Amino acid sequence: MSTIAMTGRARARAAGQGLAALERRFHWWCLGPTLGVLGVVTLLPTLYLLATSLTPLNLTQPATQWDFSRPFRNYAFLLDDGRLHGSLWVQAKLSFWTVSLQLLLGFAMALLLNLRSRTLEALRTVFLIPMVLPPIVVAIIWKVLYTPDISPVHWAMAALGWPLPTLITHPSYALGAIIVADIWEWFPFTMLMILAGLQVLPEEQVDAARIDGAGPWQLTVYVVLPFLRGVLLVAGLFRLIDSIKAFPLIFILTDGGPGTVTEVTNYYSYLQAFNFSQLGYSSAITVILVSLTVIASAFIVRAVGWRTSGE
Amino acid sequence: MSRRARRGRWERVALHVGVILLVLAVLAPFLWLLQMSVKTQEEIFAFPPKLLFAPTFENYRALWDSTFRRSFANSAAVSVTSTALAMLLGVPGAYALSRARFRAAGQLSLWVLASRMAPPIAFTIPYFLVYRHLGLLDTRTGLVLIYLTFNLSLVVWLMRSFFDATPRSARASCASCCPCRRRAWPPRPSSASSTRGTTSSSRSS
Repeated sequence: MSTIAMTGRARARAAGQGLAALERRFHWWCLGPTLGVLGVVTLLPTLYLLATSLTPLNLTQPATQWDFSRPFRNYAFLLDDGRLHGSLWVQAKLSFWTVSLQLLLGFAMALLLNLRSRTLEALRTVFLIPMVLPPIVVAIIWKVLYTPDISPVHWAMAALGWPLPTLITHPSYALGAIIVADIWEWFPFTMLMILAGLQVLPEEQVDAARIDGAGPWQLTVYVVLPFLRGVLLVAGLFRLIDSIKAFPLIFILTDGGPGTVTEVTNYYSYLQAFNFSQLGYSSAITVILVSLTVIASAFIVRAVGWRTSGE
Repeated sequence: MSRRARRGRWERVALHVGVILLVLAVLAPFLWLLQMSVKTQEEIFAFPPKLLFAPTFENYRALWDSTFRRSFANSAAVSVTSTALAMLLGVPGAYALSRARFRAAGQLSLWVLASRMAPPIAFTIPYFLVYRHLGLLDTRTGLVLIYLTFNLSLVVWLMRSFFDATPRSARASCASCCPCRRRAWPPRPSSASSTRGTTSSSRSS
């Protein structure tokens, strides 16, 4: 240790912990602007949203903006709204299938890309393309692929003798079509996170298990998966949160689907706000949706067990 | 007895061919879009779809001559400004959150995560009503501000976990003198910052 630093430290101690105070002030200077802007940009709109959900705000009747006479009227409507309950069920289906299949496909691709090969390392970036495309572009790509007149998929299937119906206007297949497009768009996200986890997997554990006679299946289930539990939780949680916010695909591909088959709660809230001008009711739906998301996330984290970052 | 020693040369070739086929299959939708961009209108709507055709850059030329240039400039300006602001505000804040022992740090992280949970419509309605009053509808400033909602949370969240993983000793040895402190901070997060910057700008565009 240099004598200069020692003298400096002694000086600081003699000055009566001036350093700690300096650090604290420095930290507040760092954090203050962040908190301030974050508060204005996220906290205030949230409070405004809550306030709006207590009014029957309708943009075509400006007087309703500050009408707090019956604050919980919107929430009472929610309980009776069959279309909302249907949208929650559609959301549950969409989230379940997209998150589980993205985790599965991401895991498989990560296992593949984890093999040591220069070609694979170069190809890693190529696999990220679906994720980096703007969501609208992805929606347009899949719109083209799902439109029978110009879709190579439909043409190929017809040529093979298995003609496909128009998937996005079919009540049974519309949601499946959206799920496929969503998986294509986001599997690189889970793949990246799982790959990062796989690369810190200690070789000794795998070798030890292999010496003990474990086959590839047992290796995966008993050694690799438990190690990846934290990564899978974080990846799954982020994908769950994002699946609840799904909008471009539904907007471009099905517009809520034949009837309300692909209408998720987020989309229903958008319809209430911008088609029916019922901003108050839409706010109430959004508040409920966010609350349900937070509760579901907390439940999942507690059920699976949160690991510290870096695992 | 590593796997590599046992894997034969033919197996490696088969693996590479398989992977290239997989890449083509996965990227096929994107490649289809690319090839549509160099086709004429008639060729796009031809059925069965033409796989062999003479590519034309007419679409790109028409795009350049249209209002695309202004849209692209808007996109670039908004995403660069928003990313720069988010990094400027977020990185110091994340550093302070990571280093200082704030009692509310845990709650703040949860708030950041919760703000990410909100669907865009949760912010659309309040911002729409407020922008109407402030005259920020249809402006680039308005866009920059609203992108800050998720960009800033993202930067704080990601940089905080990065700073958490950085050892404190890099800072402690220079703690006694101010000029040293300026040199020790930030503790080499340049690669992480560029990743966050890329993530923020790709989400803004």
